[in-house]
Amino acid sequence: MGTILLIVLGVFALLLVYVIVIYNRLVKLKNRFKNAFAQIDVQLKRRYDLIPNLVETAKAYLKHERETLQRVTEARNQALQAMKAAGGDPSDAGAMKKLIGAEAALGGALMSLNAVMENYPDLKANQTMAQLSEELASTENKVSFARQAYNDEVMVYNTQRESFPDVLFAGVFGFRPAVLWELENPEEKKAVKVKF
Amino acid sequence: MDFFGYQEQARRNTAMLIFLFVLAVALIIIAVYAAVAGGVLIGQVFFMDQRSGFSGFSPDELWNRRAFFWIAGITVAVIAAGSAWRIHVLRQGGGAAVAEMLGGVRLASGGQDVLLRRLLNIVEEMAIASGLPVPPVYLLEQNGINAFAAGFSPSDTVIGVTRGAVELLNRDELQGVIAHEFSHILNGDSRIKMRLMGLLFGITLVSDAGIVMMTSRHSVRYSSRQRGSHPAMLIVGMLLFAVGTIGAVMADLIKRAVSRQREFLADAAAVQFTRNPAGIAGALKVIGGYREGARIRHGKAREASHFFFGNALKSHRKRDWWATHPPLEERIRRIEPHFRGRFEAVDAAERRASMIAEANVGFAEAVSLPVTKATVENIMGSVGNPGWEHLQQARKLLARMPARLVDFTHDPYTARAAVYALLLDSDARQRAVQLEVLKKGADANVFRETLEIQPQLEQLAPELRLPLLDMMLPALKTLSKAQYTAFRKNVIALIKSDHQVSLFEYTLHRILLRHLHSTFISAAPEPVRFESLSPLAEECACVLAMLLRFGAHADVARVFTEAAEMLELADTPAMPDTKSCRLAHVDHALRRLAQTAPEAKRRLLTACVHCVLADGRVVLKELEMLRAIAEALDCPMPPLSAA
Repeated sequence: MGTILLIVLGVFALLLVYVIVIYNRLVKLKNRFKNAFAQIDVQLKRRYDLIPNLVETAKAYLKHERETLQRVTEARNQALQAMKAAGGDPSDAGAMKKLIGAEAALGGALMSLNAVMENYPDLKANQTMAQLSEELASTENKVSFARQAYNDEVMVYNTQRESFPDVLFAGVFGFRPAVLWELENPEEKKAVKVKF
Repeated sequence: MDFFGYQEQARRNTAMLIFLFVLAVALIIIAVYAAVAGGVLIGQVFFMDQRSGFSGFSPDELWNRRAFFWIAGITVAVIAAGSAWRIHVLRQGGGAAVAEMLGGVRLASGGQDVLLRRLLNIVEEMAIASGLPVPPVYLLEQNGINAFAAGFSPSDTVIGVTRGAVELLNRDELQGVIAHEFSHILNGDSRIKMRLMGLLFGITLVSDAGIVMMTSRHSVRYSSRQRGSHPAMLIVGMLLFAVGTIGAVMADLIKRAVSRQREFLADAAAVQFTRNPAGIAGALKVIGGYREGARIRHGKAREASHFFFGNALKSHRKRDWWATHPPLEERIRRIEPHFRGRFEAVDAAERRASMIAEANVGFAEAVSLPVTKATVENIMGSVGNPGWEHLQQARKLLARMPARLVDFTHDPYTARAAVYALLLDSDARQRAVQLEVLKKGADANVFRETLEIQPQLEQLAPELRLPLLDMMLPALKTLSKAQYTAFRKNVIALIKSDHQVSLFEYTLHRILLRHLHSTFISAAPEPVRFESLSPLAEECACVLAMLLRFGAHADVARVFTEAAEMLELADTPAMPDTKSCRLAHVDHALRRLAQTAPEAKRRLLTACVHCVLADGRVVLKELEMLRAIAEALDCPMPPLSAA
């Protein structure tokens, strides 16, 4: 009976090691995608900083398009809020979905601003505007690149999380599935470009 | 002792580590046995159940050999499984795994924050001054003032700095702290610390399990909104934590034995590097006067306590025999012998404001120095042991870098394009072929960026190209694995497009391979297979012959013989002809030479430096080749200037 007790003890001990291994592995992957998200964060911040300048420059020319500009500013503010909410914990599905939605709305608003600007050749000729929109476009590229890296890391995490036996413990230890940052409709998959 | 001596010692120190570890395991086995025997004994006393015939223990016979071996076996199995797994994971993740474990966030570029920019500048100039790849910097959102360097080899090393250190230390102080961390990297301390972390995981496992169980309660409650749903888990967690304390205490003792002396050494090295004792002493004084001190408030801080600059765990003022770090006063007194041990209270808000003001004024200027004569001894002495001159030289180098290019290097998106642009040929026809390749392989936006960067790179002084590449490494390390694979494919396609590999292309590929590949595949350092160079005489000859080809030597054969003698080989090899010694052969040779012991690497590098200096002048090609060799041997070489 002593031997059985000891065997049980041994099995229990090794099982414990294994569970800790699983826990640590998930923590590692979670940290990885959190860090990938931090890289998006940097670029988004840059973008949100650029937009007020863009709106300010456009204002002088687009006197009759108040509404469009208003929409851009509002969308930007909402996206900024959503980013702040999601920044602390990108594994919070609700906050992430909100951010993705707000980003899509901002993209839409910028696109309609683009369309409007087509009718104002003076604005297109403006030096500051050209610079700003080029920077915006380049930031946009950086965002999508960082997003790709983020999605790669999320994929690795989610796969691990759902594989056996990790799936048994993921819930107990509070590892939630992470949200992929996918663009909602194919039209928006094209990067928003401020073209002249 | 020099760099190679430290590396040798770092190898040997592992033996001492293992001895301490075995001792710890033995003590834990005894403790577990005592606990189990005690438990059974108490059980028997309480229930007086002699009838069941439990053969394990009886009050008369506390020593039971069979039970002891069982317990020893189980304990060893648990510890071995835990440690082996942890070392495996650390090898894969490298220093980044440690930084991320502590909640660090990778700093891509400083962005608009002047203080973060200042930090990145300091790290970059230090890295270039010491000939190390620029390490990625992680920011820890902690109020305490602390920093760490973690990694198995320079390629996977990262530097972590707390928010408190960034905001409350002035440039000189921060530089002192970062120099301290660089010294840990150069002396091989960070490698020992990584090993230590892996090994000790096994013996702290039980208490860790306890902590996990106690803390995971929060996350469960958080997600399912069942408040306090697992009291059972909490109790089991507390029990495990209590039992595991023996292991945790042993782990602290081992860390203490290994790391205390090293802290003093790193402090001294930092003074030598920055030639400014006030910097590091000032930083230590600020920690002493600051309410938060060097505290790291994170669940994993204990596991990583030996990585930190200051004591991350406890209030620093109390004398603490268990601490991994010597007390602050003692450290300051070693730098400033007249220090009285009085710390001025630090007003955090005020200091923060003045740091921002200071950072806005501008960055440290390089000081012009009389040129020290480049001799083999001087150069070899500076390997892994950079001085103030190198720091000044690095600053000058960086000051010549156009600001726009520096911006490009900090972002993974543009850094890729900059690497492609570096590889573009100066010959227009060749370039057209390469661009065609790139157009197919890379996505359209990157292709456009490459075209945009290319003209700026053309104007860049050729000797700035490798430092520029160094600065891109941290950004490139943030690529995801899929992105890296695509990037690597393009780089190789660009190099191969003209069916020949130039020296610059080779060196660039070598650097990328060495420092990026390890990030994505595995961070395990090269094992030592050769103690002396004698079995590799042919390989050595090939490397030396290649290096000699770039110089303008009057008597090549004589220089070759001189250099070959420095290798202390069993028999001196003949100098290979050009045909049997092309870059491909050199590459093959370097791969094997990378597996030699530090002492052998020193000899080889000395012979190489002799070959470079023998004709009395240093040309860029020689520097690039030397850099590729030093890279392959993992020897950090401070910048040499071309004459």
